[in-house]
Amino acid sequence: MKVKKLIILISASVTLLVLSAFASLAFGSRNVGLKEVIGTLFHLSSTSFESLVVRERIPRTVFSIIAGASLGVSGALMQAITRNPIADPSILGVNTGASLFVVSGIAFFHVNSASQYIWFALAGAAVTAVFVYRIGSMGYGGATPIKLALAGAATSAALSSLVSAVILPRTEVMNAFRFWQVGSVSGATWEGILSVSPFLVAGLIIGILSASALNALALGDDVATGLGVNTGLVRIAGALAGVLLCGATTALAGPIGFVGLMIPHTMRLICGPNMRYIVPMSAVGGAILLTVSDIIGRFIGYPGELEAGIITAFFGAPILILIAMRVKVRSL
Amino acid sequence: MTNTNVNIVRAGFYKRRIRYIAVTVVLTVFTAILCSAMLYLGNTRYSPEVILRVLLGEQVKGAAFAIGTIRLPRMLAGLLAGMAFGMAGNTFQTMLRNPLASPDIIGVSSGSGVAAVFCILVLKVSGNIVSISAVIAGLSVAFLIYALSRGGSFSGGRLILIGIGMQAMLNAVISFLLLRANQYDVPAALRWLSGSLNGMKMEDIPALFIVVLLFGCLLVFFGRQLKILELGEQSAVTLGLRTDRTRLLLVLCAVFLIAYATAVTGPIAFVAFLAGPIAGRMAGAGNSNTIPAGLTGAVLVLLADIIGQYAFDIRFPVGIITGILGAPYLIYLLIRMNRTGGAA
Amino acid sequence: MKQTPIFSASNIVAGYDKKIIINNIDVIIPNNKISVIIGANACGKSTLLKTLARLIKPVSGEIVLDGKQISAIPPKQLARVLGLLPQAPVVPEGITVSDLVSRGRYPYQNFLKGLGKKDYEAVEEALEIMGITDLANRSVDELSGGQRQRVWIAMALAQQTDILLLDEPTTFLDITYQIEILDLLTDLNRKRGTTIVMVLHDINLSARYADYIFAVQKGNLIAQGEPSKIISEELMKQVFGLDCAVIKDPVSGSPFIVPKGRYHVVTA
Repeated sequence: MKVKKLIILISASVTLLVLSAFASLAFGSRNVGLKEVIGTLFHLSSTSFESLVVRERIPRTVFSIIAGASLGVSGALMQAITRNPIADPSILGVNTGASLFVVSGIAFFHVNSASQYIWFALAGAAVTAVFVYRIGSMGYGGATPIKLALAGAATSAALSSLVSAVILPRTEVMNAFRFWQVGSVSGATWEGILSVSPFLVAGLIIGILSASALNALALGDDVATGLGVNTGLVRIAGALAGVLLCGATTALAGPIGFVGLMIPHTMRLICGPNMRYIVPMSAVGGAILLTVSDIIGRFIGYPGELEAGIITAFFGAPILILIAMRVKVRSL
Repeated sequence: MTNTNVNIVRAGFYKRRIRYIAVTVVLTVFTAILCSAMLYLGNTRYSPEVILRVLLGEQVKGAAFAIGTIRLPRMLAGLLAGMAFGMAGNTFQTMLRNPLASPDIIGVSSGSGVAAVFCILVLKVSGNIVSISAVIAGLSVAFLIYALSRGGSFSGGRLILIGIGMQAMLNAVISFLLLRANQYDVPAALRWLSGSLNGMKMEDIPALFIVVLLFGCLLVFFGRQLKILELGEQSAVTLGLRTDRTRLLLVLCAVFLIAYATAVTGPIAFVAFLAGPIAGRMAGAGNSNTIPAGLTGAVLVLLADIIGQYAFDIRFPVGIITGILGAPYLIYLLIRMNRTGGAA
Repeated sequence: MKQTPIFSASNIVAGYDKKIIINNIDVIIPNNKISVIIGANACGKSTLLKTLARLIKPVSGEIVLDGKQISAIPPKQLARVLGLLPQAPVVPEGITVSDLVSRGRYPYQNFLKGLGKKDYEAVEEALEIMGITDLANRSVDELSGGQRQRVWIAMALAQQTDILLLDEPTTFLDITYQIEILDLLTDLNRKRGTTIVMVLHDINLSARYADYIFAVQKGNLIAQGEPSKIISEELMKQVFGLDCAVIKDPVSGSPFIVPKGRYHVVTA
């Protein structure tokens, strides 16, 4: 990519990100002016009503940015590792796996804080991801989109029955879970963000480091091996990062689908197939998308709000349909 | 041509025919046993004689209410919905040549689900309006998926992928409706969503019966065409089948069945998905298996409901039991299917 | 030998999704003969075959069987005259050989009538001709590629059509099986008088087994006739863009192509 285009791209996306962050601080059930937002950011101790409102919104804004970035990168990594255009945590059933583990945690082990959820969510995400991928890649042709999607959808369906079985007899869990299940950034607290950030940072670093090896992997295992890439290692590193990112995000936000599907595809359209650009750009794009979805949710659901997970699924699923319509029949 | 060779071929045909008939008979008997058990089991157990008298319309004190008003509609709803799910699922799976392409996985059931949840939670209506809107929504979703996947020539794989996308979107709508809803209505909707035979009323049954009878018979009649479609588009055209017309008819029947049954009982997980492959394994792959699949569906629903009601301290809706029972089989099926390379 | 209806196509223009692949081809299929369509990859030979088999609707032009346009003939009636073996047919999982072959009888069945005596006989005969009677009750999944191909041809035979179209029936098969399948098809042509039209990749086998050859290049029919009359160095250059020598097949006496590359050419 030409340097000029790169500069434009970076500045445009950063501007968009900053704008959406401001919007996220300003809009909601009570709208706050830009001046107050900036004022609050510089004088955090201010006690006016507006600044209290803005301060309330800081953690969710911060979290929507990191969660979006993590989901975007996670999707990019999974698509690259599986060489499959529709790999996404929600399609692979990873989110449902995390849900099941978290719900079981709430119901059987009485966990109740984000720092405890996360271990359950990570374990659930990892187990499901490996399971679905193993099943989807068995047999002739490896992990084709159709096999992977079906394995994911079917596993997801099975896991959600288990989730229902766990929560139906327990009304209190049902209520807590109902909100967690859709995926929302609104419940974010500093404590929660702090407890997941080590995982997210680790995942992002591994993701960015493995980008150039993933470029080689895109050419096929044989070619990549020929180029001196340790394909097994790259896959494991990529998968680890992907699962860390989406598992940790899911632990705090609940399952948010389709960010990981939409963003890497959009970024591939904008900046070409080079993973070294796609990975960081997916982070920025994911952050923008989730923050904006969160804001849209506040508008649509006014005076309450609509969970970001619903917005992303509603706008993301058509993207999957579009991809399905464009993919050549043979490669299904 | 030697006679021994002829005998080998002819004997094979007859043997498979006998197996098919035997499986159908056994399934029918088993279904009948489960139906009787549904009427017999409960807080108070009545003697077969009392049950029979109630069924014949006699007003037996106590038993008339327990059996006639509670157990009978529950049993009939389970029986009919199970058959509907089984036949519809088998039709989709055979037509798309993929055991995973059942209506509950590719989004058709979710279409009906959205409509039903909308009716229950937002319009606060019940009964026939729910059923009709579920049917209309199911049909619309099925045709939308079909239309989107047509582009050029028909591809089963593309249809499945688009169906999964559609499913995700519809589930987002369902989540939205659940979240917006009054907290008191939610358990009802959630129960409906996981598929339940609780609170079935006798007045729901006749319409369901007619739908199952009508479209079930159509599917049975078109079993031969289904078997030809199973050979793929090219072979089917070559054998003189009007593929577009046949597919349309089969989809229409299957969607009617699935949507109507879903409206009554909620989407009972995995019945549509499991019945076809199980019936196929028992009765053999050479038949269209519409009848055995329907019976298998009924057996699954009735059995799961009995387990859900009586096997644990708390009563689970039937859909959760089928979901959990179905999971291991699903995994087995996925593994086996992928190993033999049976992609779409 | 009964009278086979005349099968021809005129001014055919056809393709996929608006992309025209064959333009303006006229063919008259020689009756009771084996015809082979040859051509380079993506030249439209398969498209031509599929158009003849009504799998692709031609953009313009007409395909006529026995004086009637095929689009006007009821599908089942047409299926009793014209059969096709697709290139990659789909095997329903777990189905047995004889069950699969019996599905070739679909054009002879109606709403009320299931498989009858005649149908069983047709299936048995087809199995017998293909030499797979002993596999009748085996599952198709378990068979080898060559055996599977025989099962598919048996299904097309059970359909008892006068004309049989085959799209690359020997692809993915070892050379032994290729010869075996082509011999079986020749049996069929000689014994039953079935008109056979197929697409083949191998020029030398085409030249040996064909009574008549259609050469297609970039969607146009550029030559047709008996192999010994039309296969020449010029035609091969035109169709495949390949320099070659044409000699006489020492076994069959048909024309035999020996390709020339840039190396290993002994200059006389």
